Amino acid sequence: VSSPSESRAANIIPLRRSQASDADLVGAVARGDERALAQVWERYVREVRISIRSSLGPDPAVDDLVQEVFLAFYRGASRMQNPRALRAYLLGAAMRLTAFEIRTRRRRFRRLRLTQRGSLPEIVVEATTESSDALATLREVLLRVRELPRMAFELRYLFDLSPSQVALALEVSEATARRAITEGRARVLELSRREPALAPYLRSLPEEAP
Amino acid sequence: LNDEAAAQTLARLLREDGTASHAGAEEDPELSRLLGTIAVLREQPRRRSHRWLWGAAAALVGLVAAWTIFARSLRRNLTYEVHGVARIEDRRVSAESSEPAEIRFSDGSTFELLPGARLSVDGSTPDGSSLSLLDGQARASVVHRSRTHWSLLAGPFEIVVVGTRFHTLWDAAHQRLRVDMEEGAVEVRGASLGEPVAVRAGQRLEAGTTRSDWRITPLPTDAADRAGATSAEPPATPSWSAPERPAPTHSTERTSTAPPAASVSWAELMTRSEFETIVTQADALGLESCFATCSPANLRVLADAARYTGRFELAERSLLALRKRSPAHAAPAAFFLARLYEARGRHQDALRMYKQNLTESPHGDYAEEAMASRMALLVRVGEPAAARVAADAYLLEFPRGTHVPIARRIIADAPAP
Repeated sequence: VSSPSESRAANIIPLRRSQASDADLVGAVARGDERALAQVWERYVREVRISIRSSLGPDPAVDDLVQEVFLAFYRGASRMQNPRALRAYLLGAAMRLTAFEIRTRRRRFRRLRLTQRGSLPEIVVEATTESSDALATLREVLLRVRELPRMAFELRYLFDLSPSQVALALEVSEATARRAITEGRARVLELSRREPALAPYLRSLPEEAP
Repeated sequence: LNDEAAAQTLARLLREDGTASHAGAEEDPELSRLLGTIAVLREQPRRRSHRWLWGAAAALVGLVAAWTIFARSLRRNLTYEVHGVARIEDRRVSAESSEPAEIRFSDGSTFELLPGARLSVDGSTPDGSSLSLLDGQARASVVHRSRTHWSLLAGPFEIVVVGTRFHTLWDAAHQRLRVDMEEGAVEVRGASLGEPVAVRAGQRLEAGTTRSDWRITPLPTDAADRAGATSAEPPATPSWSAPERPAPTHSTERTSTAPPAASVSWAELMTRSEFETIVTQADALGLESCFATCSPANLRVLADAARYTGRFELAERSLLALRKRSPAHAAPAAFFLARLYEARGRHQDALRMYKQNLTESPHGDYAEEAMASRMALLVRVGEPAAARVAADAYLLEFPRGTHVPIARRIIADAPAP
């Protein structure tokens, strides 16, 4: 009688790093293959980290959130309905976890503001190593946009996902995703055009006539 | 197009920030951390998630709360309508001198005002109403429900009703109350009564305002009298003649001022409260002879008259004779014997007779009262287990009965079987 670990090991099919498709990797991770998980990590950790940093900046929580994204994937791999959409799945998970983190901090921040010690800005959008005022300003702008349009904007323009992939990542209908992209873009640009730090990036692109 | 380009420019700014270097897969400490976490998770048996259970519990609590709020919103105060010819001023309803009027409440309870009667509806709750009978006669039919509470004020008296049918008369001029119970039981308080007095089916309470001026008698068995009591036509004069009559010092020691009635029946004498005359006539006949030859109706009247005049032994012998002579009257006689024994403190005899009544006439007129009295008496004699059985039987037989609250209390207080 084989032990559970032996039977699990029997299910692991070695994958060649360069050739494995997303669907193959998802299948392997679902069977408990840690090497497949390492390949997924290698393939997508950079974009996952970018998606989290785009909202939080160089925050100490970024690494923990990256861990949570991949742990969630490891646990849910066997239930993924569309293994080929692994990238959209991971980026969507990263967006949602980051949004949850932001909401939690905002709630805590509101409570802390009620104390006599005054406000405690917990959302670190600017680090000492931050070199670009424009980047810091852009993150502040993004935080002022509603959650769904903000996520849709980032998925669409930062990661170049199609509207249908955005819909898949955010678990909404494609029509909703399209509306969210449009709203996100309009709102981000509207707010950005008011910011002097972002002017150089928009100067060469005159505003559209109404 | 410009917006698209601008959005992409801004996105590029974010993307460039993410190009911060990180180690390769083999050397990435964050990957090692992830694999370490997974290894730990694998070693720990995965606990079955009970999140759905919590969700179901929360949903259930929410559902119960919503239902409670909904049910409370449905519990509205009773409303009423006045039918017939009546004068209505604010909450006061006055029946015309020649026509009765009826007040119908939303729970189905009715108060029929006989001609000339005046009644005021003082307030209503979801469980009942408070009314005042200002003058005249009213016939009440109160629907019994689990938390019913009705109160009828008549001068200085208060009649507390759970669910019953009764006929009441408040003579405001002479300050006298009469309550004829047709079904169930009521509790009457105030004025001459001292402590609350329970009036049960088949009984009549008459009370004045002076101390101890009250008595309970059987409802007249005479059909004409009963019909008169429930007729829409008010009696020309009340059945008593107070205040000219001296107020008695005890309910059972009334002295009659009515003329001697040698030529009238005992039933008629009973309606005139001439109890002593009845007993005297029975003595004159010879008690043994009467027990052997008097009609069952007269034996019953004699028993009542003897009881009211304090001759309990005669009452007992009359009822025993009645049981022996008339099978049709045996069960009611057992009930009255039980009442007699209970009043005299002969509890075991009372219990035996209540049981006799229930055995001989399990669905008779006195069955509910016999069951209720028996279960209460069992508690008093220190037999809670038997009382519990009796209470269970009562609830089974009369789930909407007048004594349901008492039965439930007995069951709750009794030790578990």
